[in-house]
Amino acid sequence: MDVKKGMDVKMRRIYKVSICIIIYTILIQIFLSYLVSDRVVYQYRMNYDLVKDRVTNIEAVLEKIKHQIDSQQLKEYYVILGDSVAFSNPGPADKSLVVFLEKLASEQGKDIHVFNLALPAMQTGDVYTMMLKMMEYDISLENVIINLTYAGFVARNPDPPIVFWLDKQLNSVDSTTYTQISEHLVKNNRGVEKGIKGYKQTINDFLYSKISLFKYKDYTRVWVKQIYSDIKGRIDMTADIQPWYTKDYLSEILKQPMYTNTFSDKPFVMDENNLNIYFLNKIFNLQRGKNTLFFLSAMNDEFLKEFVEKSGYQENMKSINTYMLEGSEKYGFEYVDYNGKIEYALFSDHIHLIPKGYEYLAEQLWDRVSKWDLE
Amino acid sequence: MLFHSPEFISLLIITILFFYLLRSKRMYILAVANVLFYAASGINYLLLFLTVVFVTYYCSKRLSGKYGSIYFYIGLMVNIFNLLFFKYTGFVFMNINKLFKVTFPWQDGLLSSIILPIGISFYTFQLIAYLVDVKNKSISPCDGLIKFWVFIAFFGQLIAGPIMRGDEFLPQVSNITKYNLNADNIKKGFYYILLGISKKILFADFLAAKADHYFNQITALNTLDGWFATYLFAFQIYFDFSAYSEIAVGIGHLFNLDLRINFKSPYISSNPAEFWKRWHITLSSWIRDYIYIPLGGAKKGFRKQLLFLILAMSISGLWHGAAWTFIIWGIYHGVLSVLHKLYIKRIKNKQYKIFDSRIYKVICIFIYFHLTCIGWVLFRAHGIGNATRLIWRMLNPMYFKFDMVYALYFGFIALLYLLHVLEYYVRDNSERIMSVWENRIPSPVRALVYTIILGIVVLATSTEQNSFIYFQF
Repeated sequence: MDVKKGMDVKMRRIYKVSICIIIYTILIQIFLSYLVSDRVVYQYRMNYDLVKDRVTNIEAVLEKIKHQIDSQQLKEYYVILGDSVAFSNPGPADKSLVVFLEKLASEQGKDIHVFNLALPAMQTGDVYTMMLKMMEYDISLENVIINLTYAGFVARNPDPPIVFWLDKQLNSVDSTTYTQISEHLVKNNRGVEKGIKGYKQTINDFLYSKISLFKYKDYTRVWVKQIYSDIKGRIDMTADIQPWYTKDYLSEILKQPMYTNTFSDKPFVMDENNLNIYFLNKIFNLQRGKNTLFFLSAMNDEFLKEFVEKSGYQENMKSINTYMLEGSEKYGFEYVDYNGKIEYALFSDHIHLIPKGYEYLAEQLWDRVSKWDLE
Repeated sequence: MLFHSPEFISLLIITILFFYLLRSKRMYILAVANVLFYAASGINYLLLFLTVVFVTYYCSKRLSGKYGSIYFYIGLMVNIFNLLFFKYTGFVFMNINKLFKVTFPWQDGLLSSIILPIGISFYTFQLIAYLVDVKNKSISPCDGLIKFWVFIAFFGQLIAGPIMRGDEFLPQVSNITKYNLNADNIKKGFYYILLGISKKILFADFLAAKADHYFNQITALNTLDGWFATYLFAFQIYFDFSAYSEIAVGIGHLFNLDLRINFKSPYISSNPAEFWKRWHITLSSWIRDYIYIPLGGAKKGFRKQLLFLILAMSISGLWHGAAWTFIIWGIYHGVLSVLHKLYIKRIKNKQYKIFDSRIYKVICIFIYFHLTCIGWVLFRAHGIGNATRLIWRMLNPMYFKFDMVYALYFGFIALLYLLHVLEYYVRDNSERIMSVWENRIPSPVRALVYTIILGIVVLATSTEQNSFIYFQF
């Protein structure tokens, strides 16, 4: 009897401890996102290294942005989407589009926030998926700036995948669209895995997108390292970003097929057989009646002379502009093509800008978006 | 499937749920879990494993018959051939190529098609032990194929041990339906799992990166670097391997199965005999019972005993890996055992007072720990050349350079050693510590500590999960 009684006491203790662990776990689930420093998760833009290594890390970014919107009761904010140009590569985050746009706003006495959810290599499919993710987090799509590139319209052979980063996310937020493009994704080694790999991926994706301890894991590690380096004394590793003409190696790099393909002069297919158009049409529909500015990133015409002077290239540019202008009339968004409107000296390579270039681009964008009625 | 991977944890949770919900079907539930666990490494290897298990089971049932010896040797040969083929074919060809300067046109094709099935070294030894035990009538043949499969392939310990024996594990498997959920087992289960995962993630994986850094640049190391690298690896392999074994023991407890503890603070050993009673205990006892004693052990005279010791340890070395470094590592430990036997015979038996003193014990532990570390160089370095180069640098004063930074490095090693001693103390006083922990510390505080440990483990887990070192054996 004593043994049985002893066992009952032990079991009761186990239950008590288990219940406490469950309570602590729930508390971690709720409060961890508030504990991890905002600047580690999102500061002017996403942390590219962390997101590229684990795409589910966008969940923490979206959650943090949502917290910021709610806690500061933000109503007037813009969201930037797009690729490395919108991300403001290769410059540092504190010299990126968001900083310059917010500075311009504050100079006009406006307390306006800009959130940047662009990421290098993002394709139109990623932008569309990110917009659906924003809706999931109840982040407004009312004022959106999206950058497009010439390369986005080039035929895919089969790369680059139209959803470069967010393929699994697309499957969860819009499975119909995912199914329609799954063949293309499979050809690009993207998409949802099957069998044991798929099972493993499903569990991992669930953990890293829903459970706070996992969701903030990478950020917490960075946070701890930052605290450590703050104690040790941080060394500023950021170098000045130089203009393209100071970099002799650029012309060699540009000869690689992965770059030359992006300036292809083969005629563009401008219907939904082109996956870029397919996703753009979806984005147009999502943004109908909302403040939206699409801008076509400028190419460095001086550097890319041999490509951009080809008649095929010029024809393709005309096709893009015609398609976008027709879209702007039909869906009510704004469109601007910055080709030929940015000084050559402001480029850091064939398409990216130096910080001064991004400052200039921000001014151009601000001229347009500051006129929007944000309410 | 790694123990700290989400897919394994989900398999474990589902198996536990079914195990306790469907008492009468427990044997089948564990059998299916074993199949799923092994199938994750490849269906072909599962089929191979099932075949070997079936052949061994079939042979064991016929050992008492007229052709018992024939069945015994068939069973034995199937197991040995399976292990030799998958583990040592490449090694054999490499040596033939080097020795006779010949290459066979078909060898590359053959070698590239051979991939070592995971856990083969462990399950082969478990199957051989079972077969020998049945032949020697130490145990009765297992009375059911499913039960035999659960005994051999229990997914908690299949890949890296502990190597379980029929007399200790089969009765537990036979009585699997009788157990109730037991508070002591739940506690022990979670204790060992948490201990093992913490050792793996917080220590082994952390030390692995540091040790790799040094072992990848052996020629640039000075004496102190060499020792530091070796200490790092000594603790890495201890934490890594004992982590797997302890998680296995913990998983066993969750199913009311008592698996043997495989490591008992080995670096506090003062001599080889003690070391092998603390390091990979189930392998050491396997080597003793199925190689050293059958060879003759101590019964055929002192000189032969020494020879058998070296032979048994060489086989142990070869079991660890198909490379000369592992064989030499085994011989090295064999020689250490022989020297210790000679030392006992010639000197220690004279019963000097100092032999009973604490200082003598500490000196012995210090010396034997360093001899073990030298052995780890053979185990870790790529090739004999690198191993001898590093050992030379560690022992040659010509390479000695001192810098204050080494004080920090060796302070870290001292801390690791202190943890090792602390683990010994905790293990030795576990009942008392557990009693104080449970009776004096309130449940919410204990729960908080467990949650913090779990949180740290999750945060410390690297993106790419590192496999356990012993998986390769």
